[in-house]
Amino acid sequence: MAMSPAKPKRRGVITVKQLVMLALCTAILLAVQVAMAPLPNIELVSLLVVLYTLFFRWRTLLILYAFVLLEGLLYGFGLWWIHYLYVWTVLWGAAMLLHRMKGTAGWVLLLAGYGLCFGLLCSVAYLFIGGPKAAFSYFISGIPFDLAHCAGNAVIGAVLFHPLRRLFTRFMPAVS
Amino acid sequence: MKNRKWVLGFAALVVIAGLLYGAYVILMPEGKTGAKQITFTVTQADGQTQTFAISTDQAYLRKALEAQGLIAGEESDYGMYVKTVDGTTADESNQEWWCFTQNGETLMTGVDTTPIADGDCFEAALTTGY
Repeated sequence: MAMSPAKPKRRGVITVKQLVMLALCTAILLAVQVAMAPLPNIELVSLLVVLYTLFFRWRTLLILYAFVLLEGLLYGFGLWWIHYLYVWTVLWGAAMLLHRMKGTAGWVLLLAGYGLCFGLLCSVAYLFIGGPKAAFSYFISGIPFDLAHCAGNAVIGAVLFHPLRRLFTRFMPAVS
Repeated sequence: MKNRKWVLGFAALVVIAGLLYGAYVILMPEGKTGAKQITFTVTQADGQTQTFAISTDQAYLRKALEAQGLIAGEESDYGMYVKTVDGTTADESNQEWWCFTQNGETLMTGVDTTPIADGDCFEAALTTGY
């Protein structure tokens, strides 16, 4: 009996299964952010963005911007929302560049470094809105929060990156 | 060899964090106690303004305004979140909030960490929309 040739995989197409997983991951991201909102600059969003990027690659952008839209609907579309339009994409971009990195240490370093730079990234928006003085004041006054963000991301990454990656590998096969 | 790379990476991160903290300590404006005169202008939602001349010994804006009974609010991890100015409470259900400025420029620090100096002019305007 002749075997029919395997259907070639179409790049850039999202299957129904992937769409459902992306929606679920968006919901998890939002729930985790809301649950940890009372803890200033201690968050799981960064870790999940990195893990989603490793498994969904460019499709992670769909999660990110759905998340950003939902955050705006939940908290109101203020100045902070302008930051959110690009800060998570920076992390996504870094994770995409480093996706071949093995082990946990490098990813913990990325997460900690991102936490340390978060205020600097957000101050870019103030550069256009309030000028260099406003951007600089915003950055300097937020340094203690960036230090907490760095430490929080480092601890969370060190504890949760490996177990969550294993969980993802088990339940969410990598897609290219 | 591989581990050494990551150890150096973390060491560099700690150094950068230390430098940032140092920059914060040096560059963050510090308030000084001592007699000073400041003005505080309150603008209500209908555009009506009232200016208060305040004589104070305080180093930071919060205590100078609280001493005059001009502000009230909730404590948060970032200091006081001002909800009431000059007896008018912002209606959060209407997305109202008090915008603090100094000489017309938006303050980047809260009332707890905004230093005051003799001759400073501060403003608070009831604003709608985030």
